[in-house]
Amino acid sequence: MKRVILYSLYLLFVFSCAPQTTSTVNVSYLSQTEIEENIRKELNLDLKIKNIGYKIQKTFVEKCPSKKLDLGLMTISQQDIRGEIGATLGNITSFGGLLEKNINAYKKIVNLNDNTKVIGVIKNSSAEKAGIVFGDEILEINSTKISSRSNFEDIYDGNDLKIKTRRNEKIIELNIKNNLICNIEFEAFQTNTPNLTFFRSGNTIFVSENLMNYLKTDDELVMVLTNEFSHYLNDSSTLVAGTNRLNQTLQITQILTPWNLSLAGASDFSNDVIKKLGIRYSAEEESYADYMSVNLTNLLGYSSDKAKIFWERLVKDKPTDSTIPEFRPVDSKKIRVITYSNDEKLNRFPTKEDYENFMKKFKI
Amino acid sequence: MKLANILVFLFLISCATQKVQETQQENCYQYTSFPEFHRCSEKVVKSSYSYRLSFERDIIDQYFAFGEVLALQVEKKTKDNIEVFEIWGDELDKAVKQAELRGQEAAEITIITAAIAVTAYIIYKESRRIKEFKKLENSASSAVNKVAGTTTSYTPNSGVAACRVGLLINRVQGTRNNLMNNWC
Repeated sequence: MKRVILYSLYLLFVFSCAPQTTSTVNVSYLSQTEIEENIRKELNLDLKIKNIGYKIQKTFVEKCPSKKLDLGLMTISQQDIRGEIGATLGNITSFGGLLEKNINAYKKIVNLNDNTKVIGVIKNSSAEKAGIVFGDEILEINSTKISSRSNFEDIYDGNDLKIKTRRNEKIIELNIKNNLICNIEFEAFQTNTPNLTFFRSGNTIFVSENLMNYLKTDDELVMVLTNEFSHYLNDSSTLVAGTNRLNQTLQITQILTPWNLSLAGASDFSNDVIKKLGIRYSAEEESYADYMSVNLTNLLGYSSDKAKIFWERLVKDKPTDSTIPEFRPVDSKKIRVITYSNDEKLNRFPTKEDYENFMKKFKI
Repeated sequence: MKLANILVFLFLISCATQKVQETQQENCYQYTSFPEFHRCSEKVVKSSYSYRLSFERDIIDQYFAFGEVLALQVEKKTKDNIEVFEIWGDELDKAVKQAELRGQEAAEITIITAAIAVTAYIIYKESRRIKEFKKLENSASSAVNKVAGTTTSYTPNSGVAACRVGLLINRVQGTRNNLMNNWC
């Protein structure tokens, strides 16, 4: 109880101070082309992290404390863009023309009209299996008209869905079986600074765009994500209070908003909040997560031999723009745990007992 | 108030005693294999007062993490022991750059790690009689000058280099360190 009160007071302090120090990008000054480029980049990053995230969510669903139904679709509509920016139906040129620029960008990217368009289909999801492709227009789900994401989520709970789509002026009806996956989100985000970072806030794992670029292979990205996912499974400490605020500022949902805490500024701000709160995994928590991440990486069909190079490269480079060690110990123990667990692959889901035996065996 | 003073005094005494005991127990120079030398020097640094109270532990931890990568490579025979001493010695340049970015206070603590790297390199040089020594001495000289705030020239002699590095560690740690015992 005392901890909760202290956290709340600290949060109040941090949230009241942090915006003053946050450097932000006034996206209103971005040209139409720049906005479009930015959105395309964001979509690619998002799809990359969500493809791997979905695999994690699906493969380890039985191990997760909370589950959800998911089709594996990323969508956008004009209503979503207006809702995100806070514009009314009429004022298309509001916020320095940002609303108009976003809509125009999506008209070019996905031929956006008045309906909901598919801007991403997650690999091996039920949506992909049913044959939904990028650019499809989602008209109805179970006979209910779909005009925004929230609308979409309202009727998402059914197991068997009938989706009516339009593709090249042709109406197509598809039957989709909803997938049960782990209730955790994976988000890539941009920062103003060249910050290499990843962390978790509640049920969302965040990876900075700069870290995504620093990672050389999908194997490395999988190890990073499974590390944080292991912390989630092991119920390690996380920023729970203020999660909604954090998620709102970080989950840009591929729309450039005009707020003070927009895009890059938002992520720096949130990163700053977590740092100020002093959320840091203990050596023991991190060590267990490292052990699990090696084994989960292999179970997902990726190579921990290749993946572990990320940590080796990071300690070799010691990049000054990395805040990774601020959220977790990055030391010789980590290197030993990762190397030895890679030598002794389990080929099954690791338990706490496996970890303890491993630590005893290698005297770590 | 008096009680608080006594507690602080007891705390300081216990830390100081512990430090002396630890440094007396360890003599990293006895090791010629990199993994042993590296783990020994890590233990010495991490048991030091300066390390425990430092705000720069993250960066020092990363130096030793990289050292551990090298140590494991030697153990797995994917890298040669001598080659690794050389690589670890080259870390000095990086340490100095890091120190420059983080300011003088950070420079002093970061230099402990760098100094160990240099010392390791010197051991390697002394035992193997390698010609390429100039680079190390220049680097060591710049590191020493940076912390000492001087511009004195550096004598191109490995024994002197090791001694200077040892003195440097002493200055940062505030006590006689085993790393310099055989050199000064």
